[in-house]
Amino acid sequence: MFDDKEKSNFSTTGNQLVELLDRILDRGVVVHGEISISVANVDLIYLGLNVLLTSIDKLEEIRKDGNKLPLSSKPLNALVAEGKGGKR
Amino acid sequence: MIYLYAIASEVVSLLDPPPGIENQGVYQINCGSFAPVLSTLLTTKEVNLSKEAIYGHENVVEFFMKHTPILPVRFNTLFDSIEALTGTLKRYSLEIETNLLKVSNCVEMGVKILAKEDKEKKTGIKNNLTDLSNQVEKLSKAKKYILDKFAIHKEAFYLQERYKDQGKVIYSLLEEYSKQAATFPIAANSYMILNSVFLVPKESIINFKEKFHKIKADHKEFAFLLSGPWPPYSFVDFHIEKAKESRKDELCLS
Repeated sequence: MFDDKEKSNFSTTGNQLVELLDRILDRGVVVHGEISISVANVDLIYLGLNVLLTSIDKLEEIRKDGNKLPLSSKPLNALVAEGKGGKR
Repeated sequence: MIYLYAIASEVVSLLDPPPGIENQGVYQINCGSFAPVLSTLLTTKEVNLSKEAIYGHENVVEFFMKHTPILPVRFNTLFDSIEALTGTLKRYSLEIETNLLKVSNCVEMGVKILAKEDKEKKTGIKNNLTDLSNQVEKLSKAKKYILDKFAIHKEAFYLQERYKDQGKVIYSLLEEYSKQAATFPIAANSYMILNSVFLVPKESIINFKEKFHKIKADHKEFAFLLSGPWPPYSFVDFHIEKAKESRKDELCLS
């Protein structure tokens, strides 16, 4: 299996498997709406969320701002637009 | 369920392909100007991600790649029936034929390059951040965690910025031996400076590898990873939208 593959030049083992997974799960011909992968009968669900990342400091800064911006009631993209959401 | 491994340019006859997913037999059907590679699975659900399943998929794809141009299909691509499969693929005949022509007689080679850790720089960054930590009273665990992560990010950013031009030069040197090439995004917290793939004509594989090893010998400051030959996973430039009628039963909730 994979006889003609180049041996990995990294010291860790399993790089070829990682390379294969990188391709087989993410590339090639993709049929939309058909990908649902489970491991050991546990479904892994992919959510198309627009995730916002922010630091703890920035989060505290937002909270301290008179509690005017409860995170649960304001869209995160609105915080970004207002310059209070940290970095994407 | 019908499992789709790859789309081949023709039916490969008089050959005995390896067993596929779930040890099922592998076969092809004629579908206009191309021939999908399939198995009929007993399961009605998606295939579990396991090492056996991954290799089962890849073995079949690589087997057909040796005999005819193919477009590899992403793992776990299933159709309810042969009719649903052919109906969907025929709507993409033009894209399939164009892509088959592009990858004909070519393989994919992957090249990744990592900058080796700059211990002096990392220690400097970490010491500065530790000083900063010590100045802050009642530092929470969360803040310490963030500062540690920040040290790694900062060093990775420093190395990526320092070597990005060399990465571009190496990419262009290898690109000369390929029909097409592409780069992929690099994680901000990694030491990687190049994540690239090359569509290499079979007759140029030896030259490509020789060039790679020469570059590697000239750049001891980097760690290199060459992988392949792979089926041309990274050079398929279209996506398929499944025909809506094939999911009608799932959408009908009442």
